[in-house]
Amino acid sequence: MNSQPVDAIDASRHALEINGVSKAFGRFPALKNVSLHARDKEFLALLGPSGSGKTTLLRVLAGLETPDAGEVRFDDEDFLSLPVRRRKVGMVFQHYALFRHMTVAQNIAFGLNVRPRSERPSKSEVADRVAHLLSLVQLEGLEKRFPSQLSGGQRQRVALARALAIEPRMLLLDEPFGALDAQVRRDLRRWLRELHDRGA
Amino acid sequence: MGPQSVTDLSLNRNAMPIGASRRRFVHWRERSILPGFGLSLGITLIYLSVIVLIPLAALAIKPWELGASGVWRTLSDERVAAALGLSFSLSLYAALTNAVSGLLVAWVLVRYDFPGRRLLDAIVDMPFALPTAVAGIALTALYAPTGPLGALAEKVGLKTAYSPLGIFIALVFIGLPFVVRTVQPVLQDLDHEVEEAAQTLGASDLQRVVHVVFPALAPALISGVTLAFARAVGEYGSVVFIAGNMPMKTEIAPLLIVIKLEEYDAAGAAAIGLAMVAISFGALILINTVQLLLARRGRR
Amino acid sequence: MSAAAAPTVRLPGIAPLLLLGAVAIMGGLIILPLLAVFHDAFSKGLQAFFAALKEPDALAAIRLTLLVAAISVPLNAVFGVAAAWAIAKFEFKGKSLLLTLIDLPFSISPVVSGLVWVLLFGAQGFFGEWLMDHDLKIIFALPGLVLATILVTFPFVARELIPLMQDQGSDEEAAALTLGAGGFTTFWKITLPNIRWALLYGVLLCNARAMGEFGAVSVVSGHIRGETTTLPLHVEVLYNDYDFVGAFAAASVLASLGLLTLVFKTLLEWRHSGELAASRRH
Repeated sequence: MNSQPVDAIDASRHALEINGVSKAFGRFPALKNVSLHARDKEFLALLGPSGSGKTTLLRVLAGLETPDAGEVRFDDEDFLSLPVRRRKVGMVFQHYALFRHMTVAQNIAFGLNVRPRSERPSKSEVADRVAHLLSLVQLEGLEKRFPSQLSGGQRQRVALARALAIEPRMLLLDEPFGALDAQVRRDLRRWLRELHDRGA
Repeated sequence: MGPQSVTDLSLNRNAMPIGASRRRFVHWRERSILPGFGLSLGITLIYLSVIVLIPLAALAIKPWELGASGVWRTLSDERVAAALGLSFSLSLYAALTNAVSGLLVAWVLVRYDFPGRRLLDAIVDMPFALPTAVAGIALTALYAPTGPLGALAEKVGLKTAYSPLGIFIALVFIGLPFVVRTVQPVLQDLDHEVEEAAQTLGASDLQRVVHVVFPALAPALISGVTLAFARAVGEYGSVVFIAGNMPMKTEIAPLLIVIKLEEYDAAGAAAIGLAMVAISFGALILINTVQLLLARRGRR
Repeated sequence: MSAAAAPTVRLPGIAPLLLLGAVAIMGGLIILPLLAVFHDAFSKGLQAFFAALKEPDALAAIRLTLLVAAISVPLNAVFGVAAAWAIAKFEFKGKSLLLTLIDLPFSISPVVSGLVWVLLFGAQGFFGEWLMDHDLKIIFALPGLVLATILVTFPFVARELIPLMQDQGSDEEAAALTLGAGGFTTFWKITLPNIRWALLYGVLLCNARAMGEFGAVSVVSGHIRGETTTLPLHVEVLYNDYDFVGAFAAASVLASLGLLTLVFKTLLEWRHSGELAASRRH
């Protein structure tokens, strides 16, 4: 059916372990005893019909949902005990969730700017990083645009750059191409694969 | 040459739409097959003319009986200027205060679930539903030195009735629902994916609220504050009991209009009224422009 | 806790604090005054309360209030329906001007809304002499009260109906016409049932405001006890006379009206939110 890729670009050395995760919403069981292992630098895709729990699993990994049962280990750490902000999981949402009152550059820089003082890079470092990411996703020159001025494909790439800016140890993409037309989808899929292979 | 639908008929310039008269159609409106345009628009225009336009025209014309210098003299008179200043400044403070309190109440109503939330939600509209005179004497009963809250305030050295503070309290009272009700739906419809994105990017709760939530609320907040301000400036019933009405100190502009009328100075009263309307409109236009400019930033 | 709820602030200390703050504001600012009205109304006991309300002036005030509302509200309802019909079902230039005019009373002081009638029909007004010559009284009499009330309250029905009818479009009416229904039949059988809850809601708000209006009516009434004092004005008159039980007794009647309005309003919002324009605001 439709492939909804989920990428797990593992930028550290250890594996991701999901064991026996279950999550129900009311009486609706979204996840039932799900187990999954991923190796370092692996590129994984979760396929399944809508309603099969793919998004829920991603949200559990990101920390946006707490499972009713099971454990998640990453870097041999108990991942579930970490709050969302500390997990360093980059997430690209299905509808991109860009900050519409911020420019493209501000969106991408956001993850860097909200770091605590001690860890925050200098303004010039942030600007460099943003520029580097923009060229990576091939959106140079669009720093000052607002999300409403971008096409769907462009927004998607901004969302990706934004997630990459925080140097995540795991990158999750939730139906990233769902809202785009077939041609754009094909191109982006290929391009994303190349990006991963290059070890970004 | 397919079946002729109703839409075909109305688009066909040569055909007469169903139910229409045989008059020539004026080009300032599109043809429509629904009847009753003349009647409904007629009623609307007549009503508006009689109830709004003609009275407003009277307001615009009457002051000039005094001549331009007369109008100026009326408005620059110490007592009048003091009242206008008091009304507008206290309304501003009250509206700004309601920005905070209204936001707080809206936040609590939307983001938390607690027993009695629905009740609280319903009560928010009370200052709006309560007749102003009732609110006026109720507030006075509470905040006068003889009242429970007033006595408490006196112990701290605050005069909550027959003082500008009393007026301020009354204005906050009547303005609160405006801010809450304009912010609430926006807060409700906020895309929570955007907030979740901020969380995954490492933002703390405070950062998330300040950088992501608040900017999205800003237009609604401004709108609500503007409404509260406009209402406060003209408010009479809720204020006139608690104010004390001392000239130069706690006299509000609407009261001055009443006083001028009692002094048979209709033109003077009209001058003050016109000034109030003009300033309020000016403020509203200013705010609307600010809103438009804000909206241009990445509005989708 | 629904999964679709927006993320709540997780910091432990803050939530209860915010909650407390909000409740304190609402309580101190809004609930207390209401309690004060009823407390002071009954402060001298039930007997005194009812005696105050049975006073001829009080009864006259109640009757006058009802009369003014009985005239103003239906007129405003007719206007509201007519305006909504014209604006929602037809395209023409000048709509936004109409909408601005309809919203106007919300931006001007009630005192000004009363003043304008004095400027037109008062002794010094533009028609003042003509009225005196013909022995007609508008200011300091019922017509003035009605006019002032109408000016302040006419937007309520229109504002409820217009967005709703715009949303509903004209398809159903068009269908009725193709089926052979005439204009009024279409309106009666098709449009009206679709807007009845919004109409009721608008009438409810309009009525509450009409009965409770103070500023505008105060200016045109002349405060002639027993003749031109509506209930809100009666409250003022008694209060200024230091008849506190009387004033608060009358006030509690009005406050009950306000509460009843709130109850019905909330009921309508809960049960029929789909058919009310208001739910889009709340």
